[in-house]
Amino acid sequence: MDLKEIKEVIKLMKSNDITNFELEKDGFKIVLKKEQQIITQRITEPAPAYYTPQPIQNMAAQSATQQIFSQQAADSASLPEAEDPNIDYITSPMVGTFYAAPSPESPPYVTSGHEIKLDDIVCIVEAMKVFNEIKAEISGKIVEVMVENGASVEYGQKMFKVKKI
Amino acid sequence: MPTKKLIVHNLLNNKWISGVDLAKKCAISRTAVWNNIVSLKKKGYSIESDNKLGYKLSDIPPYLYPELVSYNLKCNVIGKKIIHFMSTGSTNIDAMNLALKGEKEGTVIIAQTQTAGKGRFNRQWESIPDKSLAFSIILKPYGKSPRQAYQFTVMAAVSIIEAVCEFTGLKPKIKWPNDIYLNNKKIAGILTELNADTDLINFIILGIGINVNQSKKDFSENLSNASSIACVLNKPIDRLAFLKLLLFYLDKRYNGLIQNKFHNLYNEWQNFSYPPGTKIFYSANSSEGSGVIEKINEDGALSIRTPCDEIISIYSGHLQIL
Repeated sequence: MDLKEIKEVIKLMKSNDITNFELEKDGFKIVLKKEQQIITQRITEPAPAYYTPQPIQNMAAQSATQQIFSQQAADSASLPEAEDPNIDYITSPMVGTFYAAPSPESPPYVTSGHEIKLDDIVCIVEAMKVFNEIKAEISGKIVEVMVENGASVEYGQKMFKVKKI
Repeated sequence: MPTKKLIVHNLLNNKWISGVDLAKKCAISRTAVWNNIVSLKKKGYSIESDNKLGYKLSDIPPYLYPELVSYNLKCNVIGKKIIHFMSTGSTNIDAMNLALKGEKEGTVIIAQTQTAGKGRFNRQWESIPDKSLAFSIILKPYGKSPRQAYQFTVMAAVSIIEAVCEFTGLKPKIKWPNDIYLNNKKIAGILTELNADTDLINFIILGIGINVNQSKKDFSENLSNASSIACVLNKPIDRLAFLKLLLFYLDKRYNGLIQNKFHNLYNEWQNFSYPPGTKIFYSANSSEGSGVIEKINEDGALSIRTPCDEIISIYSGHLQIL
């Protein structure tokens, strides 16, 4: 198994939300674990990502996720049930603050149950006073707003759960 | 070049020019010259005319007309096209709408009066005709990601400092990330709006508001923390000349930035900012408290040392200098 194949596996884990992967062959064993969303993003994104307010802890967590064991067999991993293929997520393109509405007085761009079309503005992510109006890259219905107004978001963090129509 | 612009550029040396020469230089008839002179006078230009000598510009209007701003303006991108409104809601909204319709990058939208100037979270940004500067720039940096967008707001902040410094000798400071302060009062603000796909910036609207010539009584009571260049300098400055200098620096810094030279800008950002050790009160997301500035990181975040000697990094929020 070479690096390219490992990357492929990581991609598949990400797209199918699999948190555990183990493979044993000819005395070689690899275990890939996903502890939290941000960590997978780090592995798949070679560009330096922004750090959370505790960068050191996260870096440690990142290196701990890629453990390769060469011995000792383990029980074969059972894959968690795959999620509904019609469910997709709108993720944050940058680290910053999530705003559900254009101003504190205005109603939110979208709420749960809201139908969205491609390119509809769904929220604002702000960092260093740059206001990024996030557009939907899918059409569908908002199932869940996963972030609270005013909370911080990481690069790649899921902000909206969307059911494709 | 539009005829009016050509006529104004030929008059701006404040010398007499004959109707014949002006007609020749603008490739129009003498009657057309005359008609244009009449309409320029209506726009606020004072133009003398003499049967023998021709025309001479004696005074320009106090407006930042495109033909005035573009005169002898050296630029590659920013300022190549200038649009001026006597009154508009917000130049950022105008710029956004123009960019969505495919306006080229570098276009500058200037307003004499903004009726609904936008600050953070649609807070009002007060601008006073003839005394403040309010403009927006459309930028389309090729191949940049939303995570790099803050670099353009840093570029604007550094350019404003450079222009103020060269024009007046004053040395304003940057309050992270991009507020411009003189004597601990705000003189300029930058509001950047982004239109981007997940990994690629489509365009950036850089909105800049500068308090240039307001006097103390021009600031309403709830703006006790605001000041202007003129207030600090104790005399008004030439708004047009200052804007041209600022556009020159913005253009220069922008060209550096799109050639991936953020590092130079990052150094200036740190040099011009309130230095490490400055006591602050911060509010960011759900946390707030006092602390001291530790450093500005190259990814844009501000590191703060808290009273318990913890270092926290913030990407958004508000700082108050103590």
